[in-house]
Amino acid sequence: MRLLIYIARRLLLLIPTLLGVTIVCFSLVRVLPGNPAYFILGPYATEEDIEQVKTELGLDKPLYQQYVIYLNDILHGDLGYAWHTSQPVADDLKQRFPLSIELATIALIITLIVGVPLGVVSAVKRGSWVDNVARVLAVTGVSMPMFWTGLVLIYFFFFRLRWAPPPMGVLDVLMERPPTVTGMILVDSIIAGNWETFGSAISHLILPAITLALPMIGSITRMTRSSMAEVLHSDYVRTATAFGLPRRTVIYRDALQNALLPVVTMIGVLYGFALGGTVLIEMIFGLTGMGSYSFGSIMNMDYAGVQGAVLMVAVIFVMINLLVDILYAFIDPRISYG
Amino acid sequence: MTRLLEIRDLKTYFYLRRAVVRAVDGVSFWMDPGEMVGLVGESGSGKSVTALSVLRLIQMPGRIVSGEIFFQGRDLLAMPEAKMNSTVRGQAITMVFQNPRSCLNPVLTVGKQISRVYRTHKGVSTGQANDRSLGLLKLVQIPDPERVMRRYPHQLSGGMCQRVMIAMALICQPQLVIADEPTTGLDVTVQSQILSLMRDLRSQTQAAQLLITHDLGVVAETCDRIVIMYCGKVVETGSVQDVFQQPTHPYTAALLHSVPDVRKDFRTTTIPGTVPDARDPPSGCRFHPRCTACADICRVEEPPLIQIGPSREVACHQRLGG
Amino acid sequence: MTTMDDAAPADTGRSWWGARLWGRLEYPAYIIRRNPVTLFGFSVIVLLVIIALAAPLIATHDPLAVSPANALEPPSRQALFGTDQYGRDVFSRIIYATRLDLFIALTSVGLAFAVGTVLGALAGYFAGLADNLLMRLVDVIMAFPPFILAMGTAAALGAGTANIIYVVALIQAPIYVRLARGEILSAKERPYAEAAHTMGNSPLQVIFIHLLPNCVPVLLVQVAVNLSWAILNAAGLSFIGLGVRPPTPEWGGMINEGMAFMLSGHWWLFFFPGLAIVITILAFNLLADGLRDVFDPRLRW
Ligand SMILES: Nc1ncnc2c1ncn2[C@@H]1O[C@H](COP(=O)(O)OP(=O)(O)OP(=O)(O)O)[C@@H](O)[C@H]1O
Ligand SMILES: [Mg+2]
Repeated sequence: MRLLIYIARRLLLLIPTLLGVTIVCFSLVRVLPGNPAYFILGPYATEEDIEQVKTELGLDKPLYQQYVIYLNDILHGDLGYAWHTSQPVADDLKQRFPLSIELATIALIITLIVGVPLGVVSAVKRGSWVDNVARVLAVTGVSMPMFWTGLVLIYFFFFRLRWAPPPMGVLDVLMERPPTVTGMILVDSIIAGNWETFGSAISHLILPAITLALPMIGSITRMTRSSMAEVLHSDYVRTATAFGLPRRTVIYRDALQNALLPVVTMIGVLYGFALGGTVLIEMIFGLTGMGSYSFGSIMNMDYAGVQGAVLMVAVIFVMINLLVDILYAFIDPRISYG
Repeated sequence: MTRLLEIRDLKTYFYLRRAVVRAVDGVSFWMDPGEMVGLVGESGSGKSVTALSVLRLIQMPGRIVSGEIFFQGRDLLAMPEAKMNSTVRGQAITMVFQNPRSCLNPVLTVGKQISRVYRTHKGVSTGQANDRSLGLLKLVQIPDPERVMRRYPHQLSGGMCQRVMIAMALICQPQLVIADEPTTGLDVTVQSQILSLMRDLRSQTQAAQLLITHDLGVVAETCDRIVIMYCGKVVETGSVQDVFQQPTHPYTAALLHSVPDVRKDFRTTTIPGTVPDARDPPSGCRFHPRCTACADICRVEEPPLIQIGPSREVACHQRLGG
Repeated sequence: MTTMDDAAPADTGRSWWGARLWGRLEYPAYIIRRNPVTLFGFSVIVLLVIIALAAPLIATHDPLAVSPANALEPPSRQALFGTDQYGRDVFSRIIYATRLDLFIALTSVGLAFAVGTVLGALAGYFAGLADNLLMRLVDVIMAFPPFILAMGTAAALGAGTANIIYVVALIQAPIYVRLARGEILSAKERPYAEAAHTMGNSPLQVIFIHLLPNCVPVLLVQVAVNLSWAILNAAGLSFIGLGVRPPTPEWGGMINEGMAFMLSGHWWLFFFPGLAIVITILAFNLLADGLRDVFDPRLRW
């Protein structure tokens, strides 16, 4: 019950943040120098089109009125029209977003599966060769730009070894998509019971997901290690040891449970990083998600597309952070829901 | 008669990047069953490190370098880690720390933390362990123990947490309870409550207690014997009565003089000079730079701890009063 | 367990920026010299700076000189890292790009540091409405995944070196605002702040002469970390065509250009600029770890 009140409170607090986000997105086009009508219509617009859009958007009106119009449009699901796809931006995003979410989620799962145990072992066996290797890997991981790592992986695993499929699309060329339910190819494949598309999608997504995961593994390993090292030196871990609890219990119950708390808060940050990374990754691996959509919009000077994508990512990011906070409140008894 | 605890020439060092801290550098003392011994000394003299060494809780970069610790005739330093856990820690020897709130796991309920100690060592069911925990919470005079069992440490006061720690320390009926400044950081009124609780429990449980404290007044009131440490070494031991009436080590004498108000924490000691750095202790007798009775020999030769009476030992070349 | 001396900062009231700064930096300097990994990171950075400054002396070719006859040559003694599709020398381009990338990183982090710290310090000291508004703004900026915000803003501003600097500074400034604000909030409570105030110093003097210098070490770790992020983000923006415009050599842009030739086997076009990024970022990260070691020894890496 108190948790529910807490969630409700957090949702309320979300409103000003989301308003701020819309103001930023609005400002990107309207306040910064440049002609919004031009931004919206793209470089091939005629004079009349531009004039028409200007009156439609009410660009002659004061800024705050323009903002109200913009906000009203957003609330009605109208994110503008993307001329480079000849579709409403909202429709584009609906088609493109699931893949990016899927990619970011897989990358996050890989990150947690690899990074957390690595950090724990590293902290527990401090100074051992495992620790040293983990530390080198971690600092190298966070130092690699993923738009480069991705290319290196493609070069080796596709061009040289031919183990990976060509970096084009999420399925093999002639394969048909399973019926769209969620828009996420893996989930849809499972729903349709189509293991062929599932396998193909996995083989297309694994390299981009690893590329995206590498720097995140680095940072979560570092985070887990330092958090775990600190907890292992804490008074309560010493108490547990002093009272003769088996070392396994002390490490994997007392220490780990506490050490993971700050790691949980990292998940939101990492998800944001992963969403940002999809722009680079999708472009490299020829995946048609939100990232490559943003990229395409930028290349075509289609600002409505960029603006819509940025807004959408920010909203998702804010939501993820909210979920993480709630999860945190749920697992840390010290958080008062007040 | 076998001693309950006998520490011989214990050395525990911390190997830092730039220096070796000789936190405990040749400590020897003993305790009999059921005895209450006070371990005192200025801040940094190595009391906590001694206590932690007994349970082998010293973490990197620290290490027990040499010495022997006999508990009921068994050498704790030679005991395998698993045996330490299954027979000594939490059962035969338990420890109560200072800062009780940070010593309890923040994400586990108090009840769980107490009962799992009992369950681990006695192999009983959860229900039995819970009953026993409840009994102990009553023993340490916690009001409404059923409710407290379900609380998390942060929801309890420091004094409450310390009572919980004491309950945990007593649940397996230990022979020795080491209490390392159990009242530091608590309110003054709570301090005296905890100390009187510990005194009461002693008569009820027959467990020996090693009480580490700064407060000579507390030692005078509660302990049978006193062990005084200075800079990693024992300088004097004896019955409380003997030592307080007739200190033979100049440091002991200075300590007693420096505490006109026995309730005063002697971190704010008035002994002239400063506590030496355990990284680079003075030559000879470690107290000589601050000693009023310092002679030439004190600067070069380290005085051994010698017996000068039944259960009375002192390490000084220039013993006071003959 | 009792820990060693908690190295409480010496809160004496000397009021010279220089003297105080040096007082706080002496120890880090010592650590950098002692710890081999940190020393390595630091040396690499020094080396990179030298390369950037002496680019014309080190480069073997003109980075912009086109020579179609020598296009797409693999690495050889004439062209250490090979040549690109226009026959330009990849090695020389990377050397010149060091200049630009370091310049972008330093100026953007410098800008973020200056603006963020000053705003944060003022907000922390004076509190009130302005502080509140600033923190809400920071919240909003941080509600965006950094690279996405950078991308959106860069797209609105248009490509170009100056815009990249603003954009990268924009996404980093909130960190300094928060850090400086937090530090000032806690420093404000200490006795020496009160003392400085009653000695007749103006609030600005108290902030910038007495309080801020004590916060510099904490901020310094952040600067090292942020320099690596700045390079990543700047190169990333150039990679998606929002940063430095070709033909000016820039690592991210070079990788982008090289990408098209990867699947014809001309790996050197994208590989070497990326390697330069990895080395630079690694150096900054190692340095940051070393500095963190100094200021937060319990979280030692
Ligand atoms: N983990 C550690 N690393 C390095 N040095 C340590 C560590 N723990 C203790 N020491 C050093 O060992 C010496 C003795 O410390 P100890 O904690 O035993 O003193 P104490 O007598 O208990 O003092 P206090 O009354 O303040 O509790 C001190 O010089 C301390 O700095
Ligand atoms: Mg102590």
